[in-house]
Parts: sequence; C-alpha cells; structure tokens
Amino acid sequence: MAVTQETVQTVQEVEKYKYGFVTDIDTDTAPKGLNEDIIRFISARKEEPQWLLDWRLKAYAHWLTMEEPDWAKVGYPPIDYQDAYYYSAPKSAEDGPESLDDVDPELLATYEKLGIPLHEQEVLAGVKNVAVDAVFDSVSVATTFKETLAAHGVIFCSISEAVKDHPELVKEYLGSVVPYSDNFFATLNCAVFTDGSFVYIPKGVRCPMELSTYFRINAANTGQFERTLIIADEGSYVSYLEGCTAPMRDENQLHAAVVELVAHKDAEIKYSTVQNWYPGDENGVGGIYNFVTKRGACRGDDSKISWTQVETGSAITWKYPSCILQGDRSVGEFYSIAITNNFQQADTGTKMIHLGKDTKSRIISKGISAGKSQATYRGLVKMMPNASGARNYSQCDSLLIGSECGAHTVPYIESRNRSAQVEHEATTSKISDDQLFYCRQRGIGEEEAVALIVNGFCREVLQELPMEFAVEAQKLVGISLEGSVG
Amino acid sequence: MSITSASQAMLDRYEAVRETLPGQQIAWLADLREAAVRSFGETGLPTPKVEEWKYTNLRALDGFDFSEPPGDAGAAVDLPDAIGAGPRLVFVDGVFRDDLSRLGDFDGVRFTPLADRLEGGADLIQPRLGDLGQDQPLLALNGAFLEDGYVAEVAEKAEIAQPLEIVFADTGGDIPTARQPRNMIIAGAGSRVQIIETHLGAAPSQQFFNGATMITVAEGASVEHRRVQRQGTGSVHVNTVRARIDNGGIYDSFVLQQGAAVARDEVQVGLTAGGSVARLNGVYLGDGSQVLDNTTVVRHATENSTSEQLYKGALTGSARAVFQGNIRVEAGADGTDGRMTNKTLLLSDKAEIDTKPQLEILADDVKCSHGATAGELDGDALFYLRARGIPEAQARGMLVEAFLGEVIDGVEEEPIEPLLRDAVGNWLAHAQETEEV
Repeated sequence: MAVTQETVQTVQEVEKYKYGFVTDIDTDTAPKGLNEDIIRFISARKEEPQWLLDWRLKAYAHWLTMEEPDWAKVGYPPIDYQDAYYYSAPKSAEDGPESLDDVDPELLATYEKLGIPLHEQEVLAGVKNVAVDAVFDSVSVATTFKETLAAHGVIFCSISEAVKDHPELVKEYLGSVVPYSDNFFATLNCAVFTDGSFVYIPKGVRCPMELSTYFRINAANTGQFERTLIIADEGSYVSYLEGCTAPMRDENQLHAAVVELVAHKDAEIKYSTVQNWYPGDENGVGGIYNFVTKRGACRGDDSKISWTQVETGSAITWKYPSCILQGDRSVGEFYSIAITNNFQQADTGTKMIHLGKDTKSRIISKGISAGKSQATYRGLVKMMPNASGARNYSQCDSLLIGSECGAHTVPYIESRNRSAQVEHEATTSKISDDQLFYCRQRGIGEEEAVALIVNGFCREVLQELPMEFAVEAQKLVGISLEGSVG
Repeated sequence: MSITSASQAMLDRYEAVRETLPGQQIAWLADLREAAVRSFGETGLPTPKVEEWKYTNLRALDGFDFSEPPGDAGAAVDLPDAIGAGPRLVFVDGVFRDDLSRLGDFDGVRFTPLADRLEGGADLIQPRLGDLGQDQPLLALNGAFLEDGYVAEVAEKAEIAQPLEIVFADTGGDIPTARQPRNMIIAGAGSRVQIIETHLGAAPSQQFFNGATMITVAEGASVEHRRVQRQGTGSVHVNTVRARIDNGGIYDSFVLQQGAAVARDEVQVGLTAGGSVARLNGVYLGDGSQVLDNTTVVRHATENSTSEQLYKGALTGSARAVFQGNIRVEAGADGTDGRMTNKTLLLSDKAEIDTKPQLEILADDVKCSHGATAGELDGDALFYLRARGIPEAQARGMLVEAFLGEVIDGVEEEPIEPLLRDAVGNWLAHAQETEEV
C-alpha cells in the first residue's frame, strides 16, 4: 500500500473513531439495541483494523435490507433485535456459584449420568475460583497443548487474536465461504460477532491432537454470535470438536453462529459437534434459539470435509452444515443425529453442492422425535453441469416415539449432469413393540430399552464421532429421551 | 403485492368475457365465480418465490397476448382413434363438439359436458363446485372462468366395463388462448370406472391450459384416472386433480407427460377414511427445452390408509423435469402406509431433474418411505447387452424402455397400455435420431 494512501486511511480511522462513537467506551457492556454505533463499539473494544469494521458495517447495512426467513418448519415468537445486548465482556467469575452445592441439582444429576469428572463439572457449572488448569492434574495442560501445536506450526487461537496476529490469513478467508450477504442470521453474525475460534493447519501437517478437550475449556463464553474459521492447507488434516455433551446453561436466547471451513488440495477437515444447550423445560418455556450457518469449501482437489453432529439441545435448531465440493474428487460427508423431546423443534440437514468432477458426498441423517417435538430433515444435493462422475448417497431415517410428535423429511435434489448419480432414501418408523418386548423380557427397563434401541438406530452416525465423545454421546442419547416413554 | 402481467391479463380477460361464460345466468354460479376471481386477484399466478412453485416458472405466460377473441369454434381437427368402445366427449378449442363425440346410453353412468348439468345442478353440482380450491391461485383462476368440462357420475355399484374417454384438443393458430375446463368425477359407493383424458394441441400454438378435476370416490368405489398430456410445444399446461377418497375407496392415477413447453400435473389426494388407497403413477418424457412437473400431495387424514407413488422419466436435450411429492400423515392417522419413488434418467448433457420427495409425519405408528435417484444408464447393464452383440443404440433403447416399463406395467392389459408403449417407443426413436441417446 502506498504510504500516502495509508496515511489517508489512518486519518480516516481516527476521525471515525472520534466522531462516530463517543459514549460508553469504558463500560464492559454495550447499550441495548443494534445500530452502527454498537458495531463500532464492538470493533473498537476488540481493537480491530479498519477493514474489519468496514466489513461489519457493510454486513449491517445489508442486514437491514433482509427479511427474517420463515421457510423452516419451526415456530417462535418474533425476535426483537433491538431488545438485546450485542456486546458484553465475559462474565466475571464472581457471579458464579460458591461450590457445587449451590448448583442446580438437576444439572449435577445429568453430569453424573454422563460420567463427567468432578473437577470438570465445576468448570462447566462455572463454580467460582476453579482455575481451568485445575481440571487436569498436570501443570497447565492448556499451555502444554499450545506448545505442542506451535511446534507443528498449527495456529489455534481465538478469532480476535487471529485478527491481531495473523491479519493476512483472516482477511483472506473470513467471509470467503459464507459471504457477508449470505442469509439473515449469518449477516447479523458478520455485523456483531464477538469471538470464536481460528485454526490454521500448515501444509502437510497432521494436527497432532483432536482440537477438542482444549476447546471445551477455552471456548466457554464465546458469546452468542460465535465465528469460527478453520483453514486446512495442502495435505493437512485436522479433527475439530465443538460443543460439549454436558448441558450448558446460557442466558442468551438467540445464538447465531457462523462456521467456515476451507480445505485445500489433499486436506481433510473433520468437524464434530455435540450440541446440548438448554432446550426449555417440559412445558416448552425458555430454551435457546440456535440459528447457525456452517459451511465448508473443498477448494482443492482430493480434499475432504466431514461434518458430524449430535443435536440434542436448544428449543429451536436451524442448522444446515454444508459442503461446496469445488476440487475434483473432493468428498463431503454429513452424519447427523437430531433428537427432539418435549416442545423442541429442529429443522436441520445439509447442502452438498457438487462442482468438481468425480466429487462424492454421503449424507446419513437420523432424526428422533419424542414428546410434542418436531424434527425436520431439510437437505439439498445439487449436481452442477461440470460435476461429471459425481456421486451422492443420502439416507434419512426418522424415528417417532409417542403419538404427539412429528418427523418431516424435505430433501431437494437437483441434478444437471447425466453422469452424476444421486440416490436418496428415507424411512419413517416407530420403535417396534417387538424390539421393546424383546428387551423388556430380558429384564431391561423401558427407558433403558428405548435408549438401547435408539442407540442402535443411530449407530452409523455415532461411529463417526471421535472416540472419547462417542461414549458420552451414547449416554446423551438416552438422557435426552428421558420421560418420553411410559 | 404486485401480480405478474399474465395474472393481470387473466383478470382483464375475465372482465371482458364473464357475461359469455357457461351458466352465467345462474345466480349461485355467478357468486362462486366472483369469489374465485377475488381470491385469484389477491395473489395472482404463483412465482418461484412460492415454495410449491420453486422449480416451475409460469413466466412464459407473460409473453402470451390473451386479449384477442377466441378463434373459430367449428374448426376441423385430427382426432386420435378412440380408446375402447365406451363413450367419448370431445372438446375442441374449449368448446364441446357434439358432432365429434359419442354419447349414447351406457348403463350406470351419466357422462356429459358440465354445461349440460349446470341448470338445475344445485343439488349435485353446486356443492362440488363450492370446493373451488380457492386456497390455490390456479384453482381459483379455473373457478373464476369455469369453462365447460366433463362430469362423470357413476351410480352405486355400477361397474363400467368400457373406459370413459375425454379429448381436449386445440387446433392451434396464431392466437394465444386460455382454456380452463372444470371436470368432475363422482363415483358412487361400490362402483368401478376408468376415465381416460387426452390433451392434444397443434404444435406451435400458444395455449394456456388450466384444468381442474374434482373427484369423489365413495365407499368401496374404484376410480382409475388416466391422463395423456401431449399438448403443443408452445403451450403451458397446468392440470390440477383433487380427489377425496372414502372408506375402502381406491383412486388409481396414471399420467403420461410428454407435451407442452411448461407442464404441471398436480394430484392432491385426501385419504379421509380407513382402508382408502391412492396409487399415483407417472411417466415423463422430455426433450428440447421442456419443463415437465409432476406434483403430488397425499394427505393421510385418518387411520389405516395406504398410498403408493411411482414416477419415472427420461430426459434429453435441455429438458428439465420436476417431481415434488408430499406425503402428509395427520396426527392420529396410525397404520398409515405411504411409499413414494421417483427415478429419472438423464440422457443428455444438459438435461436436469429437480426432485423433492417430502414426508410430513405427525403420527407414530406409520410406515413411510421415499426414494429418489437420478443418473444416466447403468454402464454395466449396457456392457452386458453390448457383449451379447446388441448394437449400442438398440441396447440403450432396451434399457430405457425397461426402465420406464416398470411404471407402464402398472396399467398392463388396460386399453391404454399399447398407446403408452408406443409413446415411449416413438419418443425414444425420435430422441435417438436427433441426438446420441
């Protein structure tokens, strides 16, 4: 950049800061509501460069022209976007409970069933004065992880840090998969995202660990507008695990996260999610609205992106992790379990856009609805004219437990290439009395039997989860369905 | 909300012709028309922004000029041979042609043009017209114009041996036209009947066909409804069938979609009582830049009803086919068995299929499944035939015929079967002549 140009820009930045935003600079919470000043405030608090602020403002301006989508099979009262806080610094530890004795016993009972160690329980419940390091016996595991990762050249940090330390990477990739104008919730996220994770795996590196345990500790309190960006450079591999089997109590009702993945030539990204946010009580009061945009681009030849999700929480889930298969022979996978109970509503699925030759995609979706809940699979498989030899296989199974719930399947298949092969199958059924009788006869309690049968129904997806999570997820499946039979 | 220019043209046309529409002197009918036109005016023709019309665009109609007066009502027309020895009603350019039809006395069935039944039709016709389908713009539009169509009223327990045949033909010409016939099939308890509708048109004519057929299948009755759509290549064809099936009744539908520039056959079935059955099958053959849409909505409203759907098609050129199937199982409709399959062969580089087989299930004791595939001919099967000395073109033809044959097998030994096999054979021969298929 020419020196004069730079100077001009710097002056502009200073001016904007000076006149564009004058109040509240010292507070930790931005005032309620959403406007350009709030966005400038967030950006200033995070000491962001001008280009990022401009990007946020561009997104905000676009968001104002958009309408909230209503095509999903979910119902909720209208959201007042002006009646919310868009920035608040992480809550101080002082607000937390004194000890586990002060924590909601229901929550503890769930931790117990999931087999979460006591120390971890304390951290999850936000007990005061429990250092993250104490979760593990060794010296700061977090630090150790960081060192190991650094030795391999892996960058793993919060996206705010990345903006400061690796601006060239963030600038190149941010919004390159989910553009600022993508959809109502993603655009809102662009304007007001507060934090999230950033991962960069350099060429030829196989990330030495699952970026999971580490994440569980560090990513707490990233806020309701989370932004994640993962880049796997040529020939690299990373497995990333988001979320937690333990139920998270969260004050924010609206969550609008964006996750972008970029896989270069020969690279592979495996992204697993376990989502168990507060689903509301058994009468459907409260609960999180989870409106997430997740998308991965297989940019290079022979790259692969695999999404695995276990969705058991949230009052409303609106989520379609997608793959854009640009590189020849690239592969996209989507494995999903969505369990809804009580009054939960889930509208989830995937999009597989085949652009490159001989690209492959596989979709396995298992929906289980119980209580008065509604679960919808909504997916798109699109074969573009150049996707010669592309293949897709989709299987969407739904299981109904009880007569008051609903299970819906809405697949869209668009094929514009003769040599592309698309296969889609879907079934809907209930737990058969025979299966239940068989288990009961062998002395297995009814709830356990249901958990067992449902786990069998979900097996193909559970197998895709990283080992340590698979075990917890299996238990979670049982717990989510408690009270749904008998 | 603004409406498309074709929608406005339709409203203008209604104003111009309303005094000449059949049965206009009948007060209740005039009221129905007015209600329907108001309803249509609110939304106009659907655009791709409407989810149900995401894949099929009616904008071609904006290029039609509907202001011209209709053509000669006595025009000569080439009719295909009659199918079977039953009665036949022929409508040419929207007008019932006594001279071309075969009426006669057939036991157990009253089969007439709708216009003949309007006068004094307050008992039978009016309640059935009351369901104009104002929930859907195209049905409302049809209800506003409500032109002459057919009424097939089958007496209780009557078994009609010969098919009832209807031909809607268009002689073409330079003047764009709109035909909006309203038909009714009323099958009394325990009756059996087969209806064969043929839609024909001269190739280049700009015709907008917007038909609607209301069907009631009473207890234990069986209605077989066959539709052959071969309209002219310049036309836009939308045909909506709405059937209500009572306990133990069977509605069996088969559609061949071959003609028109843009065509949509939409079947909506309400399975309203136990033991009711819907079988919906279809074959589509697309070439050039045709858009052929098959849409089905099957609603299982109560316990123990069954539906089966099989739609298969082959596409060449830059033709595009759309299949939208929806099985909805209402709460309490336990014992539902619903199956839906859609398979498409893409025989050229530019052909496209958009399919959306949808399930909406609100009851738990159900068995529902759907499947969809799209792709080209199986290379292994082709190799197998080639290895046995069968020339490539012939081998491909055999495979296409076998692929589509699965659906046609469902109407085996019916009077319409040879016609369908010929249609596939001729389409294929033509496709192989014009491009490498």
